[in-house]
Amino acid sequence: MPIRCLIVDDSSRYARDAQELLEEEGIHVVAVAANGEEGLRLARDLRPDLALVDIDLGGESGLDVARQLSPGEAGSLASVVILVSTHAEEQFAELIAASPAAGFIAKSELSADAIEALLSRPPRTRRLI
Amino acid sequence: VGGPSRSSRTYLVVAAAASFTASAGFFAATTIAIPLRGSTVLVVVWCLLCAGAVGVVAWRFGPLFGVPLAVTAALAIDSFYIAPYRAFDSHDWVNYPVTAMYIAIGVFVGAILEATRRRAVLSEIAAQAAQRRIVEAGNQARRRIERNLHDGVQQRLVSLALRARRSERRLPAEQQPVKALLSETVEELNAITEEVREIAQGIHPAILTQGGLAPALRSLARGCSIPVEVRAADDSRMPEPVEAAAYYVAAEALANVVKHAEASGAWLETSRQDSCVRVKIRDDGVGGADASSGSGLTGLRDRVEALGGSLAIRSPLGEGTEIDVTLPVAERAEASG
Repeated sequence: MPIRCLIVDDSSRYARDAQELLEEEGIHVVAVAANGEEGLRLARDLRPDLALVDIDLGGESGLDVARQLSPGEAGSLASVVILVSTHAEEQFAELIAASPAAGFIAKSELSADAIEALLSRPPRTRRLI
Repeated sequence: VGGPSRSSRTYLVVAAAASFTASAGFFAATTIAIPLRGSTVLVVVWCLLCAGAVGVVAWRFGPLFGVPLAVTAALAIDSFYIAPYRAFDSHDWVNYPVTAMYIAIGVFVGAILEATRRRAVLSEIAAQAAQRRIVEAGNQARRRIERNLHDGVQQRLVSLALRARRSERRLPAEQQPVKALLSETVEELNAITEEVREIAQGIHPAILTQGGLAPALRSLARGCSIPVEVRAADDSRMPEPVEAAAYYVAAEALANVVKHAEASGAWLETSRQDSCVRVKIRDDGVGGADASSGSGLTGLRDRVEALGGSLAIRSPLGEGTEIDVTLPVAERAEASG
């Protein structure tokens, strides 16, 4: 059963390319949202296994969206949240560490392998990728 | 905070000094100045001196102080004419309007000087506001360029890299030369993305907008080529121009440390004190930094002073450099920021 993934990204161009890439690599992208509100609504309806959330969603913060998607064990709308960005991970290291996200993947390095590698690591080391 | 109470204290001190001066004037008028009584010219000089004194007080401390002093001065001058040992005659009545006129001139001159001073203060405030607007416009331009790079060029580059990767994968194994070319293209695109990202971060760090000053400073320290210890106790957000000014001061100071200080380490400290934020950057290098010799610190001083802050540099030879910046955190901006 493929991973069911939700992409939350304000760049429609990147979201489309990421969707096509992941679909080709065996990840089922159930929906694409352009902002946090749409992402939360779709997550509530579709309950994806994974949410890929852009840290920089234009006017809003992907870190806030990650917190809303995954507020705690019971209320999580997505099983796992992974943050993505064109920004460097080092720049956001402490904010990523403080968020409920499982980890970070640079947008240019996104792939099914990168996602699986991150998810297969023990929770404490996921952020060190 | 200390304004009104300090003003009240100043008023009491000046009022006491004015009363003392008036008493001294009374005695001077009734003893030393007795021989002057007959001379109209000396009386006029005496009145002009009083008017001048009133004018200076009014100019220095405002009409609030000038007027009471004028009244006491009038009493002192008056006492010269109605001293108990001098007969009161019709001639003295002429001096009342004359004395009043000199006092009025004194207060009037004081008021004009006060108004001029206020105008100078107001124009200084206006100049500072203009400087602040220029700094804010600069910040907005930096943010806009960073946004444009992030939302435009960078997204297109990463999209292109993903497409090139997909194309490479779709090619059959026998197309190895083309696959290799595409692989190189992906690597090159990723290198360009990295370069653009660094340029964008140099223009305006996204972490400053997203996380505020403390995480941005910690990120700055992590990227520095020498060890930097950061002490930032307060993670609360401040108005954007204040955060930007504090960040750029720290960034420029650390860049100077790396370039010129020959230091083995640096310390970066921020703290909130009442309605101010203080940023201190210290190193253990060679010292001898000079902010007036066209270094980047001159521009930073302008940026800090435009926000009503201050920048102090202590850099004795052989004892490292310490830059101490204080920036006021405006309540108006704090409420919205």
